[in-house]
Amino acid sequence: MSRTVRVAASAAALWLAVFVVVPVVVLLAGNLKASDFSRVLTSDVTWKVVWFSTWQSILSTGATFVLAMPVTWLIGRYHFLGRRALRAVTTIGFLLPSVVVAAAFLAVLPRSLHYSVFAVVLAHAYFNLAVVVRVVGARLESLDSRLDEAAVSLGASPARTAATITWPLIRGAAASAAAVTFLFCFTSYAVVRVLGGPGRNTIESDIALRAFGIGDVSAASVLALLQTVVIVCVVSLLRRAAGREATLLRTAARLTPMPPRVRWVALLVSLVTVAFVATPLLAVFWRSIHVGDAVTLEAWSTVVEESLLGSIMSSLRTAVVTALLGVALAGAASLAIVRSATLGRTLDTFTVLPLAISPVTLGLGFVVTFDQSWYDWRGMWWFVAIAHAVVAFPLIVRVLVPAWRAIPPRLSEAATALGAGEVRRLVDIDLRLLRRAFVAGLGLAVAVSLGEFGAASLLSRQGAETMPVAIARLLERTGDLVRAQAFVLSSLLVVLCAATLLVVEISLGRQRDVAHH
Amino acid sequence: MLHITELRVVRSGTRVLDGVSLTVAAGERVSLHGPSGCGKSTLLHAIAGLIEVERGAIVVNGRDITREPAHLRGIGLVFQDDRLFPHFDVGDNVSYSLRVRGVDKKQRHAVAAAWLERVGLAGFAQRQIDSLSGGESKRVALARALAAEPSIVLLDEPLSGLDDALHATLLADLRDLFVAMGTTVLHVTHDRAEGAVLCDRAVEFARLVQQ
Repeated sequence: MSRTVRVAASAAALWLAVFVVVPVVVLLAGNLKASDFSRVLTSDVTWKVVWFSTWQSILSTGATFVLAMPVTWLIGRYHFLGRRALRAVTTIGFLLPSVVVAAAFLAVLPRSLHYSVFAVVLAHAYFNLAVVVRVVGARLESLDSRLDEAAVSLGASPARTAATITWPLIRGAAASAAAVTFLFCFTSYAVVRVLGGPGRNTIESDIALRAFGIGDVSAASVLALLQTVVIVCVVSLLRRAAGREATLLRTAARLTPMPPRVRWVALLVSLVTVAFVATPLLAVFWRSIHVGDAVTLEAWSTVVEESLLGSIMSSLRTAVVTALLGVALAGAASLAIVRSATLGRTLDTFTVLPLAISPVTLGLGFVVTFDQSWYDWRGMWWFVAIAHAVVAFPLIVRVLVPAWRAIPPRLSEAATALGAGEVRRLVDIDLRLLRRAFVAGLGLAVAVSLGEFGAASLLSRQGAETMPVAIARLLERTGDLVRAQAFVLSSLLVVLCAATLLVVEISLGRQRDVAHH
Repeated sequence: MLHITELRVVRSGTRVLDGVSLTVAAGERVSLHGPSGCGKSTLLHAIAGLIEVERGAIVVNGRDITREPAHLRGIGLVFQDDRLFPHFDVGDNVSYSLRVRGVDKKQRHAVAAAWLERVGLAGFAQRQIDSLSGGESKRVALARALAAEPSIVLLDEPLSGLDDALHATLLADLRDLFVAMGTTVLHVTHDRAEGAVLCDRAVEFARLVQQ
């Protein structure tokens, strides 16, 4: 292993140790006593929260599947005009900041449904639609539809074919999608806080409430541990299921042209899906130009005011630092993963660590760890960016590593033969060819930072909150103008995220082209 | 007996089959020749009900099945690419048609074992699909189609992609099996020699079209 790789691996490991392992250990070791466990775990409030987290997640997962399966079936089975556009539309909800999704449902739902389980479930389904479409759709697409013809020729009716041939082959993917959706709903924070109304808390929102509303950090730590255990259990179940499933992925993919009798159903499903995705978004823009019943740009004109502008600038500044920090560290980790077999594998496992820790737990860990002497960083504006870089880190690694592996080793070998040293090769060959992947990584980090709510809500300083935190705060206040301002910020956030993700998508496409040449 | 009159199949606005007529007597084995892309496979898929027919009639043993759903036609089809179900073992593949008809497990196992023995794969019932060689896959596909007890078996280039030795062995085995069972067969191939061994009558696909 070369020195460069060792330095890169050390940097990434140090980063994970200081900003992931230490905060979690300090949170658990420094704040947990046996008496806290018994106090929290025997409390009715705790079990009410656990029970609500669980049943709303099950309900949300069910609702997501009901809404997603028809369009997933269309996309995964048939060739038709606008198929890719329809698939892109289904992804929109997932890419939006969760607080914007919550705001969008406040904008579109009648007042009587504003603070209800219905609103929470619908917003969760909106957010997770993409999970089912992408995971189950990809699986369906990879199935050979000619197997259905074989079953029919053996006397199986279409329903029977679906039950005995198609379903067993997509069951694993459906279980994966259900588990992922369940996890997202179980750890939901912004949606529950904005749409749930008083008394409805997930474990995630209860951690924040107990730590900062009540000041009971010990109880919050117990809950954080409880939630992390659930996440780790579901994820490991998921990984085992995925491992079993992979062996079946062999048959040649084949989409069929849409038969005439399916066309009307397809049109209806497409229209309903597009309406479901587009209406809440349009409602956000619509509400931003309404104060009370009057159509006005008053709320927009207040953007230049100090409070709104402050949050916009704060978000942008945080996003830029997150992107630079996240990409530098993820780049170092990726280099080590790609270049060193043994160390790389260990590091690869550790890079997913931040995914198992919820943003609120991370934020809480930061608050209790970095709170004294020279490392009292809680008030620093860049501290939020560090937390965001932790959240974005595993995602950027997942973009960089495959792109890096796709670069043929012969290029580096050729450079070596021409006398280039290791650093020279890294700069001239790898980084040059990975330019697009790095741009995609930067964009991804910006998008994560712009939308992140859990950690930012705990770490943002009053007066310099990020946009999602400002939106949630504005929505909690009364007054038509204040509400319209929340929708103005939400609209801006939608535009910013859409622009960023467009950059990511284009860069990833170009990076793939590089790999193919 | 299979009786096809003036069949027309339209796909994406193009008549891929038009005016096709053919009769296959009960117990007869007919081999259909023609160059690639002439519509031979389309004809088999139309008979099996996998694609819709615009005009004409398909009659099997006096029953008009032209508009009948594919799964009720009782016609066996052996595909060029086998299409074995990857999530079932060999035995469950072979007995799939019995499962569809609600036959109990014990009887299904017995039938699958009997058919596997007949195609030379005795003891293969528990094997996974991805452990089979090319020739074994073809035998399983054939056993699966025959276990459904179809009134007629359609073979869509069933021996393509095999090496010469295996091709010859399998071809001889197939002929012996069909002769012994008196199966009615419509066999599509571009290989005249294969048709000559397997069938008692050869027809040029172009001849089926009435001008």
